[in-house]
Amino acid sequence: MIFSSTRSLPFPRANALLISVLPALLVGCGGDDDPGERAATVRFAAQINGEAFTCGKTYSGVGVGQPGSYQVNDWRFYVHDVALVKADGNRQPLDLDQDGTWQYQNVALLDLRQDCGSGTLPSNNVVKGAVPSANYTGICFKVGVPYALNHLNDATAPSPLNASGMLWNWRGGRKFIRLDGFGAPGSDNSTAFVVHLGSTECPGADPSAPPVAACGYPNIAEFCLDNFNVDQDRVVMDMGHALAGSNVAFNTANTASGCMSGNADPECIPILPRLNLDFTYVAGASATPEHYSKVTPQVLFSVGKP
Amino acid sequence: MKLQRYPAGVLLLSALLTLTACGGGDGDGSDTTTPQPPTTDAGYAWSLPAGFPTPKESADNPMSAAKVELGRHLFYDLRLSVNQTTACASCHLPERAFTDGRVTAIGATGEVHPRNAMSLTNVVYNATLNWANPVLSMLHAQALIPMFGEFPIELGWSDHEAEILDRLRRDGQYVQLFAAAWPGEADPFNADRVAKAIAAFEATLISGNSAYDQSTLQGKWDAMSPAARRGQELFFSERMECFHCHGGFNFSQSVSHAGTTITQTDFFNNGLYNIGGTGDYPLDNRGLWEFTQQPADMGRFRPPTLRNIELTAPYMHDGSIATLDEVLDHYARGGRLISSGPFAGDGAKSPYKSELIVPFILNAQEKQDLIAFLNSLTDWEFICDPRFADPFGNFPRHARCP
Repeated sequence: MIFSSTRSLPFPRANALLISVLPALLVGCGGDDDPGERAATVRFAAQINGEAFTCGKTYSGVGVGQPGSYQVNDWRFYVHDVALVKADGNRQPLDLDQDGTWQYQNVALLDLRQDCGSGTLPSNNVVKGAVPSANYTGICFKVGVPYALNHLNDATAPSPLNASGMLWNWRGGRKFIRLDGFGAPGSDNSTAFVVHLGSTECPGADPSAPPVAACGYPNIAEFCLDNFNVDQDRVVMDMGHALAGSNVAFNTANTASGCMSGNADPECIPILPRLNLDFTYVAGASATPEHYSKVTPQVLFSVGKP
Repeated sequence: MKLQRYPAGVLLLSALLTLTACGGGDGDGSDTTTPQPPTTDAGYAWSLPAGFPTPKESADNPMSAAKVELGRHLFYDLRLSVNQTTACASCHLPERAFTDGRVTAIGATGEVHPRNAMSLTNVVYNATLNWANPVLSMLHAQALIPMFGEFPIELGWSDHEAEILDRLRRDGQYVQLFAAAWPGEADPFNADRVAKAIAAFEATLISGNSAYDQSTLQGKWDAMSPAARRGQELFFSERMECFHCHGGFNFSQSVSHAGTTITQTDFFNNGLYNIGGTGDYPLDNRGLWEFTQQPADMGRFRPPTLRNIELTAPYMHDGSIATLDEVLDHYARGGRLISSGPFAGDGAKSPYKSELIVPFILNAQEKQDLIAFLNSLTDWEFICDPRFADPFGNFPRHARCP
């Protein structure tokens, strides 16, 4: 099964594995219909506190504080390094279909909107690929875009890395998660409250250029779920859980609406730790940084059984 | 060969795959910065600025140099209107980055259009055309609207099609231009051919050599002033949020090119109106709502490119903001307050306003810096490009052009 082990290499480590790849290439060319291989489709679902997500719908009981009503108008996120996990704990990276649209190298874009009140939108709730046939009992994946692909020029980057709605600026890369919405919609207190996760403190003097070194806070978290049957189950993302400590009808003046990952944005303090990320809050130039550890076990993703 | 499914892999890896000759050869390069060839199937070579993507060519209207040249003539020809007073260029003046400087456009017979004439800068990269039409994406389909539109009349082709086409048919230069553009066609003088030639010309109106581009993509750091650089930081800040709707290489989230496979048809309500607190916009300008009648679509319009924005005043879909300075005031407030009259209401409190239109405070220096940045998006080579100029001499070039 030397071929199985090579085809599964996670892309960022490709260089390191060239030595092992080369012999595999020399022994033959293989093919997509390798009998030892199977297709695998990982299905995702979105929920707000256990309730299925419908774009444009207003949910109640979100976060802390009253009234806790929250209208959700966008929900997209990137994942990468998706792997199925065998019973013995060994991981088998999913070799993603290079479909030219939703998946590129080891990255996939999930777009769960479908329809935000004005008709059908391009949407995608699956990650498709292939793995060697085996008994898999779990799944691991990372949310976000790996550094090597995150800061490509949007003009020439391949899909889905050129999805314009997921762009930050060139230096900042992509939004890893985009959740847009309003707290207390329709009331006098209606407040734009979004969650835009991405890398922060990416060094460089020019926002229209790649960072000159790795970002200070990559904000890429890995998630592993046990008892996951890829043929039956869904990976459920619940942003209601991410907002469990937030007042979605309040935003600190002169900071980004909700949390856009900024280290000076107090609205991120209760949110990033619930996205399985440590968060450093720095109120200002002379302030002492405050560290907030990620919530464990993570609360963002769970396995949805049929 | 599964590894080849990574179409733009690590250089060395790609090289090894090539050496082992395991099939493939699907033309995918190993350089992620130039995934598309700059030449169409029919051999038309796009002229693209550094770092720009290959435009998406319409299958119904393959590009050719002959079509572009015919289209340039038609675009500037006053005979294309019913009363021979108005050309496409009348509302899309090259000296104003292909806008007209009016609040809203005026047709050949004097009828007033409800909307502000849009810039044609980089129109080939728009995911959709017009201010709020979610289904119009082909330039040649769009061109038929000003030709045949009756509400209002723009060029006035309706019921006058034969008369207008006869003018062209009788002109020896057009006989040659049409024959070159559609070789072998016995009578190419029809509305479809006119629209497609104009579309081919419009597709060449690509602007990507502003001070910003020179600094960003051509290694000329000094091309942008320090003020423009400071403004750039503001533009791309979460405090101002400009780039959420006006992001990416074309400074618009509504973008389409050969490399985009996910349709990106974005429309936003930016808080210009909230008539009587209902969220309504004026009856003749309700944006995407006019197509869908969905409440959430009230007042949603496509974010236009900000390239050459310095030259395209007045601003907004209805031309209701005169200057960039006032545009910044509008966004700083998070929406426009209209205190009296039939449109009275506070746009900042519209229930349909985008989440990303939020108030901010700019001091005078920051405001100047931001405008300096917006001005750094002006591309004088584009404005003055002789390839885009009027062959008849009716429409002057910008005074700044050599």
